This record gives sequence, C-alpha cells and structure tokens, in this order.
Amino acid sequence: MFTCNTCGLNFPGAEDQRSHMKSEWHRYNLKRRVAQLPPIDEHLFNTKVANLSVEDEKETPVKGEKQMTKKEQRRREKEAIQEKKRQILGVAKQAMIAKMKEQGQELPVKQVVTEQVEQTETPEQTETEKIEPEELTEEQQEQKIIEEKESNRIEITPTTCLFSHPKYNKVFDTVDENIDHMFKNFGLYIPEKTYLVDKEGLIGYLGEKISYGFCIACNYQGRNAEAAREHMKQKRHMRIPYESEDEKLEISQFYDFSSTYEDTSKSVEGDDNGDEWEDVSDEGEGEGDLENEGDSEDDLPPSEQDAIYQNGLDLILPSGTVLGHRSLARYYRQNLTPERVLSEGQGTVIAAETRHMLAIRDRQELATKKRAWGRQKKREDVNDRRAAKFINQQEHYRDQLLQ
Amino acid sequence: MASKNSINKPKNKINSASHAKSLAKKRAARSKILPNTRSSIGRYADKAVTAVRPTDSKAIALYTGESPAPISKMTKNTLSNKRAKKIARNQKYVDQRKQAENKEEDASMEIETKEQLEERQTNLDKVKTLLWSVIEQNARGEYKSSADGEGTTLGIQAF
Amino acid sequence: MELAVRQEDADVLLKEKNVLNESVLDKYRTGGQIVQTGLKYIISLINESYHLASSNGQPISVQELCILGDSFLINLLSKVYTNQVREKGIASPTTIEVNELANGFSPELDDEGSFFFTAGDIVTISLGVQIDGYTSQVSHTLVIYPPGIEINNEIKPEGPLLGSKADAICASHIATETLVGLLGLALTPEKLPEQIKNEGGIHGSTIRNIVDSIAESYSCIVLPGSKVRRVRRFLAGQSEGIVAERDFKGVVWDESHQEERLLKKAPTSQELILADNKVKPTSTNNSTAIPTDEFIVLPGEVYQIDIRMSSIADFNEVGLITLEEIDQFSGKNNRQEFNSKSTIHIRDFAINHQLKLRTSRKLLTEIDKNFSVYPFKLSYTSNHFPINLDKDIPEQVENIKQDLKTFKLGLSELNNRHLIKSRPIQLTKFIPLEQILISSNPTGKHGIDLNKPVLPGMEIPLPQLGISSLKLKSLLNKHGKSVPNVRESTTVIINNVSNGEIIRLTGGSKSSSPSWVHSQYQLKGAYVESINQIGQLLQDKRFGIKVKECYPFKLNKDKSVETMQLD
Repeated sequence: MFTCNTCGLNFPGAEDQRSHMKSEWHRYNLKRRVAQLPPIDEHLFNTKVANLSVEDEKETPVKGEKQMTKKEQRRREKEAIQEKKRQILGVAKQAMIAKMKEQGQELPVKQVVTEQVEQTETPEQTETEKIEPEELTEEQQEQKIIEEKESNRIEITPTTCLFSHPKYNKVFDTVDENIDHMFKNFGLYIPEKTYLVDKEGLIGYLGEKISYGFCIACNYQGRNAEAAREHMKQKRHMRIPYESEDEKLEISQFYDFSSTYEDTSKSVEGDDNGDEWEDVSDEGEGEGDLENEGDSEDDLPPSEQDAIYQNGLDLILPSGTVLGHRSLARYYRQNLTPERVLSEGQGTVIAAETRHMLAIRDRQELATKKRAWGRQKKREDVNDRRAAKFINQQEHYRDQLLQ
Repeated sequence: MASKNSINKPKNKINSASHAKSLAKKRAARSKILPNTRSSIGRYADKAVTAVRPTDSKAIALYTGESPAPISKMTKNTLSNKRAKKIARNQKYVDQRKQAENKEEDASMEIETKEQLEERQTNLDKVKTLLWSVIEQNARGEYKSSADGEGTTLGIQAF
Repeated sequence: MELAVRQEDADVLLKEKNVLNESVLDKYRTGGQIVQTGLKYIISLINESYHLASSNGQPISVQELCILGDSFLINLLSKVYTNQVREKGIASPTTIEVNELANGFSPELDDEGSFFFTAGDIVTISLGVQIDGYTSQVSHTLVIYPPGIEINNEIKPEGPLLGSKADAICASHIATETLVGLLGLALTPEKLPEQIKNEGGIHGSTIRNIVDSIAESYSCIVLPGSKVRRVRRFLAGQSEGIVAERDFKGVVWDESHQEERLLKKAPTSQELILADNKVKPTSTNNSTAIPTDEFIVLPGEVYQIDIRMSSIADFNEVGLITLEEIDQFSGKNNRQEFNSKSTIHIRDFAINHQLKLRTSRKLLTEIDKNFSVYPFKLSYTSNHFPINLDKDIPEQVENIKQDLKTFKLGLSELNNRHLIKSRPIQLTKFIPLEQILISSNPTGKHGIDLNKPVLPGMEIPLPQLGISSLKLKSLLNKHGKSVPNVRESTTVIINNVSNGEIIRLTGGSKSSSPSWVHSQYQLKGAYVESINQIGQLLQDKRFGIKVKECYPFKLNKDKSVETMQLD
C-alpha cells in the first residue's frame, strides 16, 4: 500500500507514488498544508494553473519588452485597486437604480440576474472546497486519525529500550535487563516493584503507548514514536506517573496487591484466638492499650476495617500515618512551644518565687501614661487640621523658616 | 486678644509675659526675705552709691540734698513749701516704721538662728556628726579592748 | 512571669514536703553523712599534703582539691538512694577560700595559675549535698601550720595560732556551738537561760544579739552574708540574690547592722535616729521575702547556721567590713592583687529564652536535666566527671579540661541572656569609716549594684548614711584593705518526731574539730551568763540538750570508703 498523506491518495505501486511526489500538484498541496489549508484535487489544481497561465500570457509581452520599475508596479497596483473600486461602485449604482426602478415598478431584470449569478458562483466554489471534510463524520475522522497513527506505528517489544533511538538497537535478552538498563540510563523507576506481577505486560504497554507517539508521563501526542521519545528526553518525562488515582488505575492490571489484603484479614482472624493478646498484655501497659484498640476495631463493621482505621476525626492508615480532618486544620497548623515540665525542685523554687518582672502598679502607671500620650497626639492632630483650614487667611506674612 | 482656638496667635508673647510675671513674683518674694543689697538700697537713703535713675524723685533729692553732684550747675528743679512739708511728714513715718521693724527683727533673729540650724540639719547630718564623734572617741582610745584573763584556747595540739 | 505553679501544688511542695518524718529524716541524715565524709576527706588531703608530707614534690593545689572533693561526693551519692529519688546531687560545689577570700572560690582545672597554701593561712572548706532536695551544707575553717615537730612518734604543730585570725576562729566557733545549743532549746524551752526566757522564746533578735556579743568580746565583726536561716526542701539559700524567696525566715547580717552598731556606740545616740521609716527599694512586692528578726524558732524546722567573722583588732581606726566582688573583666586594674573567674553558676528558672548557638542549647538542656535548682560548675557537665580515683588521674584531668573548652562558648551566651547567673568571688575588705564620712553620694542611694547578690530589702548597704552599693564599691577600690575571714557553717534539724533531739547533720567534733588556736580575749558582755549556761547544757548528756551528730563513713588509707552502714 502506497499513499500520499498530503493529497489523500492511494497508489497501486511505488513508481506511481514517486511520480506523484514529484508532481506540481503534490508540491502545491504540501504548501497548502503548511498554511493549514485542506488539499485540493487535481482538477481544481489544473483549472487554477490554466487561469494563471492565461494571465501570464497577457502580461508576458509587456514584461518581455522592458523591465518593470518599482514605481510602475506600484502605479499599476493602484490603478488596479481603483478599477476594482470603480467596478464595485458601478455595481452599487446599478443596485440603487434597480431599487429605484422597483419602487417605480420598472425592473432591469438582466442586471439583477447577472449579479445573482455572480453571488451564487462564489459559494459554489467554497462548497466544492469544503466538500471533503464535510463528507467525513466525527467517527470517520477519528478512524482516519487512528489509521494514520496505525500507519506510523513501529513495533516496540518489551525487551527493547523504550527511550533509545532505534539506530542504537538496544535490544536485550530479558525484560529484567531492559528494566535495569532503563533505570541506570534514563532513571526509569517502576513503582511498587514488590507487587508487580506482569513486568513484560507493563513494559509492553508502555512501549505500545510510545509507539503510537504518546508520552508516557503527560498526554503529549507526537507524530510518531521518535517525536514522543524526543519529547520525553527534552522534558525528562522518562517516568511512570504513579500519584493520582487514575494514574494508578491505568497500570493496575499489571500489579497484584492481594498480599497486603491478607495481612489485615489475618489480624482479624487472629482476634478469634485471644490467647496471643493476653500474653502480650501481660508484658506491659503499653501493649495493653494496643489490645484495647484492637477490641474497638472489632466493633466496627468489616467494611470500615479494611486498610484504614477510623478514630473520630482522623484516619489512621496501616502505615501509621494519621490523616487529620480539615475542620481541625487550624489546630494542626499551630506551632506551639512544647510545654515545660518542671521537676520538683524547679517547681518548689518557682512556687517560692516572689520577684515580679513588671509589677501591677507599674502596669497601671503605664496605662495612664499611654492614655496621656494618646491625648497629646490627638490634640496635635486637631491643631494641624485647623492650621490647614486657615492657612490662606493669615493676616500677616510669617516666614516659616524664621519662626 | 486672639481666641484660644485661633491659629497664629502670639503664643510666644503670651508665654513670655506669663513667664516674666512669674519671675517677677519670685523676685518680689525673694527680696522680701533677703536683706537689701547695695543696689537695692533707696537712692536717697544715707549713702546712695548708685547713679540717678530718671524715675527718681527730684523733689526728695532736693529735700535731702543727698543726691550725687549734679552734672551742670544750672538746674530748673524747684521744691514748693507744700511739697517739702509733705516729704518731711512722710520721712517721719518712714523712720517710725523702720524703728519698729528693727526692734522686731532683733528679737526674732536670735531665736530663729538656733531653730533654723537644728531644722536645716537633716538626718544624714545627724548621723554623720554622731559617727564623727565615734571616730574621735576611738582616736582617744576609749574603745580599746585589752586582753583580759588567760584568753581562750581552742582545739588540741594536732593537725 | 511565664511559669507558675498551682496553689495546691505550691502548698504540697512548700509545706507538706517539709514536714519531718522518718523518710525525710533519713534523707537528711544520709546527706549529712556524705557531707561529713567529704569534709573529712578534704581535710585529710590537706593534712597529708601540707602537714604530714615529706615535703618533696608539689603540694596539692586548690583546683585539684575542689575537683577531687566534688568527685568524692558524687561517687558517694551514686551509691545511696539509687532509683529512689529523682533529684540528688551536689548542693554547693566544693569551695576552698584562703584568708580574705570569702565566697565562691572554686577554680576550674583550666584556671591560669594554681593556688597553694602557705603556713599561717586560714583555709575555709565549704561543701554540701542534697538528696531529694533535702540539703545539708558545711563550712569549716582550718589553719595551715608551719612544719610540725615530732612528739610521741607523731608529727604535731609546734604551737597554737595567735593573733587576729585566732580571735576570729574562736569567736565563730563559740558562736556556732552556742547557736546549735540555742536552737536545740526550742524543743525544751523550760531549760532556756533566765535572760532569754524573759525575752519570751527564741526570737531572731535573740540570735542576733548573742552572736553580736560574742563577736564584740573577741573584737570581731560578723561579716555581711552571715545568716541563721530556715532551710526548706530545695530552698537552702543556694539562689539567694536571684530568687526572692517567699516566707523567708532567718537572721541575716549585712553592712547596715555594722552601721547601727557604730551609731549605738556614739555618746549621744540616745535620741532615736535609728528608726528608719524610709521606703527601701526592693525587688519584690511581697514583704515575706524580706528578712526580719521578728520570728520565733519552732521545733520541726531545719536551720542552716552560717557564721563568718573577721577580726578588726589589727586596725586602729573605726571601720566597716564588707565584701568586694572580683570583677573578672577588670584586667586594667593592676592594683588588684588577685584575679580569678567565677566558676559557680546557677540557673534562673524564671527566665526563658530561645538560644541561638547549638552548644548553648545543649548545655542548657543538660543543666536543666542534671543539676536541679542547685549551683554547678562547668566541669560537672564533662563526660569524664567524676574522677575515678582508681584510674589514671592526670589523664582524666586532661580530658575534663578538653570538655571544658567546648562548653565555654555556650556558657557565655547563657550568661548574656541571664538564663544562668554566676556566683561572684568575693573578698573581705575593711574600709575606714572616715573615708565613708568624707565622701558624698551625689547619685543617691538607689544605685544598686546588680552583680552583688543580696537578699531583697538589703539592696542599700548603709541606709543611714545613704551610701549605695555602687558608691561603696568605688570607695573600696581606693581605700579597702583585705582582712582574713573565718566561716563556720552547719545544718541542724530541730527534730520533734522521735524523742526530741537536735540532729547536727554537718560539722561538729565528728568531722571538723577546731584547729589549735589561742586568742587573747575572753567572753564578756551582756550575754556571757546565757552563753556559758548553754555551753554547760551541751556538755550535760543526761539533763542537757541532746545533740546527735552525723558520723562520717570510715575512710581507708587509700581514701576509699570502707563501709556504707548508716550511723
């Protein structure tokens, strides 16, 4: 199968394709594509070429006689614009006359029809151009993109390096070697390796993603695998995202966390034979507390016992991390100094202490002083305001500098 | 007078006036207590030393004849009989008053000096005089405690 | 103040914990025994080095004596009440003061220059320990004799010490013994001498008058800083001058009492100028923190008798005796014959501050954790403290010196932030009265010297003359003369729990019998009769005052403690 993407053609043989690639039509379509315009079919292209060649023929003799100066060129352009204006004015004039005549029950039908014909001609042209995209529905478009992608696709096996350029030919014997290589050279870290059961599947999945031109870390779409690789190298996106729920779910099929569920189920089972707990509680009070906690867990419905222990306003994760409730955020945010614990001796000395760092009497004095200062300040402010009011009514000139 | 709240009032002037007033009060109070200085003696008293001031009464000068020698021989100052009699009468009263004041002063002065001395002495002065007397006594050897009896022996002959 | 203790807790800490019972008495007694042993140990070290030594090699220096004494105490403490009490330790670091030195001289190992004794010196040894806050302290002054003579195969001093030093030793010894008896009589007031009985019980003023009269008859002066005070749990006078202690009970001597005495001597002093109704500047609003003589000694209390005396017989002029702090920064003052840095520090718990340096933070946590509320030396924080006598001592000393260097920087920040206060080294100085009288104090009497640790209400040394402590300090600079001082201190319990007796925790004949001295003076004055009666009562075992002294542990030849049995 040989195709031309720009012109949207299929060819039976390589020869045909090559010859097409060399054609003017293909080149024109390439230029259109750069300008983000849809490609045109061969017929339209040929008519356009024909029109242009006619104009060229008209102009060529003048051009052939003598070289056109810039001044000349500008003048001509101006003339052309004026000509156009004149034409438009003429059309408008005719329309006006037509209207007048309509009012006066006389219609110069010919002119109107010609105008209409002119008007209808242009939409037809655009329609013919638009036809191709309109013909395809959304699904079809999607399919087309997918097809395109499919066509770009390169097979990446799980034993090939995901990030190296194919020219280096990094192919290994086993998947483990490949993972090791990628970790050492590109820092690819595989999360939760202990629970990873399907290594081959994971690497294969990532390889498939890359082969379609996707970045594995962000939703960048390259044109092909090479573009994606280049992007990942530039942005250091050579990692497997494992933070949000969606990201985790995306690769969850390759993992098996059932061993972690077993732990909790075991502890629940352990409660049934209470001998173990009693032994522990004999050793010390601290363990006794633990046992109590265990008892309270028993009361909870099994659904809440899964991996998270609930305790009023906070969640205790199996790892021991405590998650606080948002409503208590301001208390968590407080940064209090730790309370000082006094020994008996220190307590005695503090209890016997009668020194005062600032006596109460002094505090009262300070308050009255502050009030006095405040009053003084206020008076000054009032005075200033009055002064500003009467500033222009000074009877005698006083030099401020000589005051 | 500018109102209290007006801007631009002659604040300095008011202040200085009141300041001068208070100074004058103080001066008056002081001059009542303190004895007369040479410059504050009446110009026409027994011994006038200071120069004549324009406000000094010329009539009294003529009456007493105690004024310093006139600059020129010519004078237009005169003294009427009536004025002379009036001055003589006043002089008599002044003398009487002075005599009475002097008597009172002499009597009170002696008593006052003793009291004042005691009063002016603060607690600190008293303490100091007492302690000075202790030092004097010590210098005379009154506190010398001499060795008496066989004395005191402590401990035994060992380290 | 940020810190506060709830009223109920305060009541428990200040009252209930001070009620005597068997366990409290036992803690006191154990502490007393350790102190007695420590005192005996240091005395034996001095005797061996200075009196009995074959005099080859260097004698033991004060630095070494201090660190050895402290190590000895810590070693003994580590064997008693292990895991039974939270807080125990040294209550007052071993200080060794020679002649005119009065206070706080306990040089660290890295002090430049070593200090030795010479014959004729009088040396005061002070130390103390606390077990669970029950504190016993002791001070004793002994004489360094010239090389002795051999009598009956034993080396003995050739003759007693004479002169003014002997006078002071006699006076302070007699005063201490008399006070022990007097406090014992609080249990049996019917045995009190007539004269004191007429005064109606043992008042603070009784104590003061008796001590003053003894001092007078030996032409001595009771030094400022002497006191007979009640000791409570964790409140044994270790932070005097820093904490204004609530319900202070005791007699305290200071310069103002010397001033009063001189005024009473004056021929015409019958008029009462002495009534001083002026308001003194105080650092406290609480009147109970200000010491007064208006109290009665009660059974069941513990007292610290701390008497310091100096003789003024050598001076022909009238004068006062006061204490001068050694300013450790005055390198310029080349007149000062003696210079040393203060080494004893105490934490001020009322002050809290976020420190910058890591070393100082570390030091502070160590202080808060280890030394309770008692003073400490920097060497206590070393890992190589206490010194193990069985091992190589010079090497351990070197190690301690190294550790000191690391903490020095932290200490200075603590000091600058007032988190700890250093106890100044004080000298006894005589100042002629004449010099005080001819000086004026234009800055007023309220110039308080902050470096001087004084009890609240005693900030002005001479209130009648209006001389502030700052003024006195400047006068001392010019006219002060050094005087040797003697200190005798002991802790006694007036035990009302079992068969009323007075327990003498420290001092006494068991650990520190007085040195051989002879004074030319004899007891005289108004209180001679009473003092003699008390002396007789002390002698009388059956009908007199029962005094039970704490025995020290037995010391072996190699200075290790042989037995740990009590009593």
